[in-house]
Amino acid sequence: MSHPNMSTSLSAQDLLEKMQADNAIDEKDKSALAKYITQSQGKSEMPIYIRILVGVGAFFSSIFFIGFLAVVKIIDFDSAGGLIFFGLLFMTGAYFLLKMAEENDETVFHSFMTQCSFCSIAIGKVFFVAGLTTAFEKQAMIPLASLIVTLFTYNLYKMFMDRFLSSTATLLAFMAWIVSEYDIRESREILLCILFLIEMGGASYLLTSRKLSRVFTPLSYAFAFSLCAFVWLITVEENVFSPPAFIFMNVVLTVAFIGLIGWAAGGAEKLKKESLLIACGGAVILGFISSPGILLSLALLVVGYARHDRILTQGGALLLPIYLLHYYYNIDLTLAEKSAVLIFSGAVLLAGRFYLRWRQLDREVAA
Amino acid sequence: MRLQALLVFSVLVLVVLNFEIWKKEKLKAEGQSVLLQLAPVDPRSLMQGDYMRLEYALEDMVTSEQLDKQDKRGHLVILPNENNVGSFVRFYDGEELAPKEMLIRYHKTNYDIQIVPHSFFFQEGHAKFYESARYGEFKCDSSGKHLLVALVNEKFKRIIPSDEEK
Amino acid sequence: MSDKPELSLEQIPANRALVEELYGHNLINQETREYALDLLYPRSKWGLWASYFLSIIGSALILVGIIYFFAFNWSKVPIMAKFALVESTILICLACAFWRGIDRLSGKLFLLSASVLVGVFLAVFGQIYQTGADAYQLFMGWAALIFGWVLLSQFAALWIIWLTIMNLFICLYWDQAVFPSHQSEAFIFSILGVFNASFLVLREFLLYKKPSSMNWDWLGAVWVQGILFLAALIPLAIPMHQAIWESSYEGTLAAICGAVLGTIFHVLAFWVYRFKIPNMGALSTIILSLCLLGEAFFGRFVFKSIDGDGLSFFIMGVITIAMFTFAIVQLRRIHAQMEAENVPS
Repeated sequence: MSHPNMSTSLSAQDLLEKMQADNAIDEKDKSALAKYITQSQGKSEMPIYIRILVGVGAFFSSIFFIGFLAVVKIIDFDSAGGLIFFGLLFMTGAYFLLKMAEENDETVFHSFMTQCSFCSIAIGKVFFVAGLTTAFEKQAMIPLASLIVTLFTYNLYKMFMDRFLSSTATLLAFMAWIVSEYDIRESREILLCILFLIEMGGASYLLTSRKLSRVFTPLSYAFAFSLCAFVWLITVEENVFSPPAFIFMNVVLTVAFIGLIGWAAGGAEKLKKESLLIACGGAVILGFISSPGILLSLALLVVGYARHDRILTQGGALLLPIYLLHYYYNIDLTLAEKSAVLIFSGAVLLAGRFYLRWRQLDREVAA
Repeated sequence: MRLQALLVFSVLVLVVLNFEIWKKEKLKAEGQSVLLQLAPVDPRSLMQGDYMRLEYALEDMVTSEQLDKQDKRGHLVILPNENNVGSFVRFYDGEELAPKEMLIRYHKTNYDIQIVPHSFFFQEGHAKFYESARYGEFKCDSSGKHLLVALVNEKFKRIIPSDEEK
Repeated sequence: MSDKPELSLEQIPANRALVEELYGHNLINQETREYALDLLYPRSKWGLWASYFLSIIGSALILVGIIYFFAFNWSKVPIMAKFALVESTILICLACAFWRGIDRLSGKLFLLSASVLVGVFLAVFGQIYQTGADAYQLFMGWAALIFGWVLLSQFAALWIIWLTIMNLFICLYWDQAVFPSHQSEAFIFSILGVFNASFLVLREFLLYKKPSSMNWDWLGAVWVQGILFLAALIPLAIPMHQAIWESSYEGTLAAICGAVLGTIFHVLAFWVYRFKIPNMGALSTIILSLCLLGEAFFGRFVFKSIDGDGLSFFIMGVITIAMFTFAIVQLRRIHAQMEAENVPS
């Protein structure tokens, strides 16, 4: 929609020189990068589509193998020890399979080993979590065991999809446990607020800090994804939360969004102060009418745009209409009142657009 | 060039829309009035607001043997009684009508015949006024086209909702 | 990978893929990545971006507001006033479209609003005259009336809206006017698939063959391709799955027709997006769909012919790994070849 995609037709050489001139990289970096670029022609990273295919394949095959192991009773699913043992066994196997895959560059062998390894780590993780949960007979062990296994494997097992899925599963498991566990019903709301703070903080840090290495990219997506799930829970299951908890989360989101605007303005381009204030005002209004989903999708759009991250931008663009529709569809008003609210909100947004036009802020070009 | 074509299309659209309004208004003004007995039920529509589901007693007056011989679409001959409530006489087959007899269009489904509309739209929150509806008031022209103009209660009075008399 | 001569640093184009690759191999950090991308795709256009965004969301909200206003079905407002209101809104939108000119985003948005308002008019018309018409008639009239505007608009969003209306019309018409028998029910998938696929073909043809001197760039956005591609692929893949799973469908013309069309679509799409218009996204989707079909096919075969124990699970696990490995190997080869041919990903 808005990505000006006309590339400036620079060559790799031009790019490196420009970056060095602006002190983004030093001489040593430059020569290392130049060397890498010339050497790696024609072999590049797997695109995201292929990774998804690997993930889907591993998902199906691990289900079939777990089914197989369950039916032939090689593993006693009631014995915690057995499950944990086989879980660890499969994970170790997965680690070495991936090692073998990395050492051999031949496409067929590499792909086959990667596929087997991913399938194996999925089986291993499921068994391990199931084993620990059986051992302690506590529902709380599901998120805890996921956390343990994710922490252990994150740095050892270097696969983007596994890192993302494992972290996401852990965060979602915590959420599901807090929502469903009977024993903690008294403190459910406080725990949810704490979890929300953690997810919010994690996502803010991971998505806005620019010094992090790429190892943490899947983790940052996991945080963003579970935050979306969390906000979906707030929006759909409104009765899970009492008003104070709901207001608290809204305030947190609003504050985070204002922080985000500041970050984007400072990092990407110095926006005029006045428009920055207006954006913050808009955020406060959105927070006030308590629509966390709309705020979150806007935040994703802004982060994605600032980071040149298409996954986040597209995610935000997809979520925004869904949350908008949901918000206006469920608002407790008659159709006539809804109509007035909708037209008014639309008019406010258009007014914002004309304001930009009037101040000529929509023509800003790079200095 | 594009703008000119746009202009042509725009005029065309507006002409069609207004012509449709004119046709309905003509039928409403010149049509002959008849009542059909109802059997109501009720949920709501998304884009058009509140509405009530309608069914007509007339639809049950036809036996399935009679129905089997008919085409998918056609006309019924109905005869209004002293209260102007129409009842089924026969399927229309191009013959001359007796005085007072009227035509009304129907279409066949898998099981029975249907007279449109099967719904009546009203302002959100006005459902309470229409609970007493017993008849639908139609305007019909001589070719069998019809228009549902109002719902009528058991005393044969048109239901006109008014917010004041709550 | 290829026998092409090594390029020097000056000859290698700097693009998004290159920067992402350096980042992917941890040679640069996020900050440097963004810095490089800022250089390559100057994006100091926050204001412009916000302006587009506000226009689109703002007009969408107002349009929905107008729909809700009429949905309330004010009994106090006289009939002619309601019609006058909708029609004058349509007129205002059209006038604005003329005034802005339909080459600018604002003019296109006004035309789009006018098109949506025609639908509102038809809904109000049905409401006032209690036509109780089958819903397909509303969508049919709507699609027919706005077709001229859509044709002239050169606006992908309006085309997608028109196609959505047409898809709804086809589905409702099938359900409310055709009364399909149990055997012919499945034809709807073939109809929808072929309908949507023909627009996909049209898009690719216009965009890449450029049959006239007209500017077809407005069709270029990736999301347009994505929506059309999925709108064709999904209805054509469903009868293939049905043909595999449901034995009651065996032999009915509808299922066979859908499955044959689906197969043709998969083959043609693979050929086109591999050789004619290389496109990794579309290719991967086709291959994923083929893998899912393979899962269904082998699944049915294995679980039906081998009873009980775990053997069938085991075989399916092995088949899955083998099949996906094969698919991934093929995709990676294609990817490498495309890179060598310098296809932007």
